Amino acid sequence: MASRFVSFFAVLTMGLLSLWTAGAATAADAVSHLDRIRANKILRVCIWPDYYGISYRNPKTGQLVGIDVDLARALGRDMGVTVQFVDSSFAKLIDDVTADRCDVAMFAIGITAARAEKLRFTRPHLKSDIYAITTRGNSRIKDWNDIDKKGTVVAVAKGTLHEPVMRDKLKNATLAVLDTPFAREQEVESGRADVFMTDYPYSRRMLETTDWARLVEPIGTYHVTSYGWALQPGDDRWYARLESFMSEIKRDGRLMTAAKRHKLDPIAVID
Amino acid sequence: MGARGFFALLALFVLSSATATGYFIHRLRVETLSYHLRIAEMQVRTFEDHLTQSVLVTDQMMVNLADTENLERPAPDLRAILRRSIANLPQVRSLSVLREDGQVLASSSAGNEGQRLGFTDPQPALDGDEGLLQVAGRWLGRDFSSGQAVSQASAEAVQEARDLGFIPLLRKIKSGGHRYTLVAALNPDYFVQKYRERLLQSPGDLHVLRYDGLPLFGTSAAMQWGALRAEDWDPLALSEREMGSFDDAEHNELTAYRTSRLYPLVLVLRLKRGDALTEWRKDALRFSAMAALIILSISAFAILFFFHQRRLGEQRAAAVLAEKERLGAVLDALPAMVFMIGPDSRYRFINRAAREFFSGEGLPQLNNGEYGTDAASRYLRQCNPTLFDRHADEMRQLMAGKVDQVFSEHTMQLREGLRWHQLMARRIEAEGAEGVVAMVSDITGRKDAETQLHLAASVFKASAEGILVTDEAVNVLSVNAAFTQITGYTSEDMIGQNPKKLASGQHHAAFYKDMWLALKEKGLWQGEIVNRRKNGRIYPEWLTISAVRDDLGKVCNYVGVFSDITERKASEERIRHLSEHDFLTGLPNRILFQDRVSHVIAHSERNGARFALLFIDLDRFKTVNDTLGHHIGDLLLKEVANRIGTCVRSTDTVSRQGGDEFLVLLENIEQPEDAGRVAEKLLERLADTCVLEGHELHITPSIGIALYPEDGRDMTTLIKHADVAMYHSKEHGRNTFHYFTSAMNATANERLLMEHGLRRALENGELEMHYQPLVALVGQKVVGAEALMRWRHPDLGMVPPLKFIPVAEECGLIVSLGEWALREACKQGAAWHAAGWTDLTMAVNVSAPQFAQEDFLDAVRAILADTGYPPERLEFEVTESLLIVSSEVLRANIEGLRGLGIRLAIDDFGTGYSSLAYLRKLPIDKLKIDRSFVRDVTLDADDATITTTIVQMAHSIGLQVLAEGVETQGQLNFLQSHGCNEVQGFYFSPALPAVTFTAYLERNNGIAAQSAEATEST
Repeated sequence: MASRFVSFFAVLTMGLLSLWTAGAATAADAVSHLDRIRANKILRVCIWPDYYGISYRNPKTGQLVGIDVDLARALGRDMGVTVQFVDSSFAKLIDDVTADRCDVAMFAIGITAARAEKLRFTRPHLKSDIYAITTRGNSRIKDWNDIDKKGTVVAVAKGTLHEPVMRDKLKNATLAVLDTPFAREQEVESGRADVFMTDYPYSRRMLETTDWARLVEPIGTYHVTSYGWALQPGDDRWYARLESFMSEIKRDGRLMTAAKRHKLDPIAVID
Repeated sequence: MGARGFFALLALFVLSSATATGYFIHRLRVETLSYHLRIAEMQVRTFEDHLTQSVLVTDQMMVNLADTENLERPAPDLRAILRRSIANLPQVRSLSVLREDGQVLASSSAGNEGQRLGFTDPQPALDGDEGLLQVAGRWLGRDFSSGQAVSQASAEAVQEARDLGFIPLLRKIKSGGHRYTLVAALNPDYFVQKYRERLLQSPGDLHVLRYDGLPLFGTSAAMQWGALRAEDWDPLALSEREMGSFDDAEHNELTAYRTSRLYPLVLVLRLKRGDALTEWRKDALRFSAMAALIILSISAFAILFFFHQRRLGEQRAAAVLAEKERLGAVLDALPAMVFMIGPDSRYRFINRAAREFFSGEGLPQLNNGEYGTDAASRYLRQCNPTLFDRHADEMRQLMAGKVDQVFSEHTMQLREGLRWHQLMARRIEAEGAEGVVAMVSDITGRKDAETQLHLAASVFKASAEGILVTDEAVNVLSVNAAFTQITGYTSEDMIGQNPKKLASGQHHAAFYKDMWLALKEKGLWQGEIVNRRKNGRIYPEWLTISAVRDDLGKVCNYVGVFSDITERKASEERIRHLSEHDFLTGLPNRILFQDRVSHVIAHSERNGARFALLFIDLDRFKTVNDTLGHHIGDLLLKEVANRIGTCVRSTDTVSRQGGDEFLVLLENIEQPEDAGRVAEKLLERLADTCVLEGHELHITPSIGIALYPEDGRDMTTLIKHADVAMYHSKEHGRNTFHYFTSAMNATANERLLMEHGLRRALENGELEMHYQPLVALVGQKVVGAEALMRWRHPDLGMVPPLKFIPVAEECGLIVSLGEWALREACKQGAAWHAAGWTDLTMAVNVSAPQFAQEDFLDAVRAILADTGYPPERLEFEVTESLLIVSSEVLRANIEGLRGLGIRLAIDDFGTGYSSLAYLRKLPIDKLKIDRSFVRDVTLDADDATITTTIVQMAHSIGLQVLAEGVETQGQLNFLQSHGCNEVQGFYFSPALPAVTFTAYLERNNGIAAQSAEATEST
């Protein structure tokens, strides 16, 4: 079933990709996303549908759930336009935004130096450290210090901020970089990997939806990353509008309300 | 229950409770173990299902891969396919495709590729390419690239692997003419984790073994690598049964096992008994503690209760003892004697009074003696055998239950005297006290009181006086029979009522007020009171009311005692009446009469009125009294009184003065003649014949009248003058009346003179006897002489007998005069007899008073003896009335006279009351016909008839007849012709002095010539 879903997704993505590539190229430089959004009455928002608590498409219902989905819809309401979600992932993020497949990527994108070179970030609205998920039966990983041991296999998703961080940090353990949906969980559960690294929202998802997952928290702060929304660099008016929105939701509590709704208030950033 | 018994029982209870608890806990343990076995079976079944499913998915996935032509693809493509195939199968760590020679053609994990793998002893062993999944022995490491088979690994390698390992599952497949082996590395962690999670709730270890007993993996670290014991394996007896459970007592383990339904895998769940029994231990501990607590509590409570009960029992026993002592003290304090006798007749208890009684009587004490035979009983039997035997018999009956109680009241002669005793005995049947209780009380006082009470009640009942008792509020409580008799009210009428009911209304309120005042102050009132009977009549009573006070001095009763004094009042009235009235006639007596006359005098004086007094005397009443007796005389007086009453006005007063004298007061008369008219009326009324008890009586009055104021102004004078007038009437022939005149006073004086003279006459010899010859008609010779008395008064001269004889009769001189006359006559007669006239008979008048003398006969005998006169020549002349009186004395005297030979002649016959027929019965010899008949015998036919009849009748009954007062030849001839025997009278001779008579006798003796001399002297 998972494989069928994957193939459907792939077909859909490719179709959209081919459709919008031409249009984006023509309007990218001259016209602000803002005007276009207002003109088309459509706000295109990139999301990662596997991102639990942020922009998660529940496979059982097909509904999008998460803080950034709520905030994107709030933004659409503020602007008086319809929101159109566009599936993306961390692996495709830069490409999707740069190719103007969406007006903004709103899926708690870790603000990293590498990404900032290609993308423009709003002020952060969340921030998260790195967490590890292992199986309950794994006797070899008891705490954070057990991770970077010889023979330990650490899985990360390709394109996520964890990939460069762990590549940089791990000295003894083997890093496995995975690029298929849910691959990290499958690797760990089947025993091919001992742990996979993720952030706060995703770890929450694992603990809540599986009975085998065990959270391994870093001792002290390991590597905190701020999350924000990403857009094409240069479009100042669009950026200003987004920043203005970010300020409003932080001020008027909509951010906190949404965070609480998705149990993310511990990592909400309200300046 | 004794303490030993109680504690034995308690111990039994604790023991049984503990046993029950223990058994229960044991059962609980058995059930817990059985429960855990069942749970283990269920779990092992669940695990088996999961394991089989997981392996089945893997197996299917491998079979599916072989069905396509994937295996022919280049290695990278096949790898991707393999990778995709196991992406969602966490139970599979890697999937590899091996060539026939064991070299890895392609693998989901690239590291495996190129390696040559060998598997020793995969199960089940296959001949050729049968489509069965084979399970190889366990490998250490993450995957084939870094692992080695456990069977070939060193201990260090096992240590280093740090639990990381996998189980190769082999599937031999033909595809495209080539033989391949697909190898899936089964991830045990996946299962172990699942099992651990499940086993968290119910402890135990799960082991997965290959069917040949090779341990594959398990939840416990110790079993991780399959150190399977032979004794663990053998009991499974898989050849007989692929699933089951058992309790391994030897190893203290519970075991449940199950073989995979598809694959050569066996799951064994082993549970330490200790773990299984953890809850049971807690429960057992809790339950034991609770049971212990309950048992302890119950025991403690029971012990407390037991001791409490024992203490209560002791207290009760103490109380019973105290009660017994108290009872003894109470019984000792009783004045009555109390005995308790047991069924064996022995005394159980004797109180102080009884002990004192026996010591007082000088008897030995009864202590434990036997009733009926001991000294006391012997003494009592001696005192009164009958009584004692009766009591003894009753006691036996009481003992035997034939009677319930015995009661007796009897007297006992004791030292202090005769006493009343009351015996009460009852049988008692209380447990431990069976027998008889007898109580003897001295009730002498009560008996005395009862006697008193009885007496009082009798008095109350029998009293002739009415008695009424009220309470303090004056409501009647009781009345006696006399009360009812007097008042007519019964008890029912009176009880609860106020005695006011009896009030007659005759007394004023002040009367009753005084009565209550007296009662309040003195507690007593008595007096006369008029009450009303039930029949409405009022009556007087003499009432005494006493207030009865109680001990506190408060009035509690009033007792009224009264007698009906109606009778007494009447008596008083009668006495008063009697004192003022004549007893016999009821007429006012002298006293009342005088009172009335005084009043009338006073009245008449004031008013100038006139009234008259009539003095009435009955003629010859004395004769009636003397001859018919006083009874008849009284009746006659009453009759006369009545008749007088009818002749006067109601305002006039008739009074009896005594004897036969009556006085009549005629008030307010106009004329003196009015009194005369009344007198005439009286004469007329009284003349009527009276018939009294068969006697016909003729009575006549003599009446004298005195007038106020003419005949006197004071009462004495008036009465005296009326009396004088009455005498005057008497002297003038009686049966008449006269007004008083002053002349009458002279006559009255003369009579008085005569009475005085007469008394002296005998002494002075002024009396002398004259004799009148009695001549027989045949031969006309003197045959006798009638002696007649003459009084030669010195002043008055010769006084005829008619004048002085009544006076002598009235003043009582007649008896002595008569005796003198008889003596003189006998003396003279004796003289004549001596002179030769021996045939001469002497006739002497004898008066009624003489005959009434008891010594009359003696006197006669004495005279006869003195004079020597022969009694047979003596003849007594009596009046006929005398003879008809039936007086004893009279009769005896007559008999005596007849016995002497003296003859009796009836004088003045014809004037009296007797009939001739009657005479026949009388002892008489001669009748003397009264001169009144003889006088007119030749002139009056009636008198002639009467005379003739008398003569004939007398002769017919053998009597001699003499005619008195013969004065003429004609008379003589008539009498002679009619056969009269004798005559006397002036025709022959008057009465002559003795000397003269002698001469006359001499002259006539033998001479039949008639006498020429007639002397008028009678």
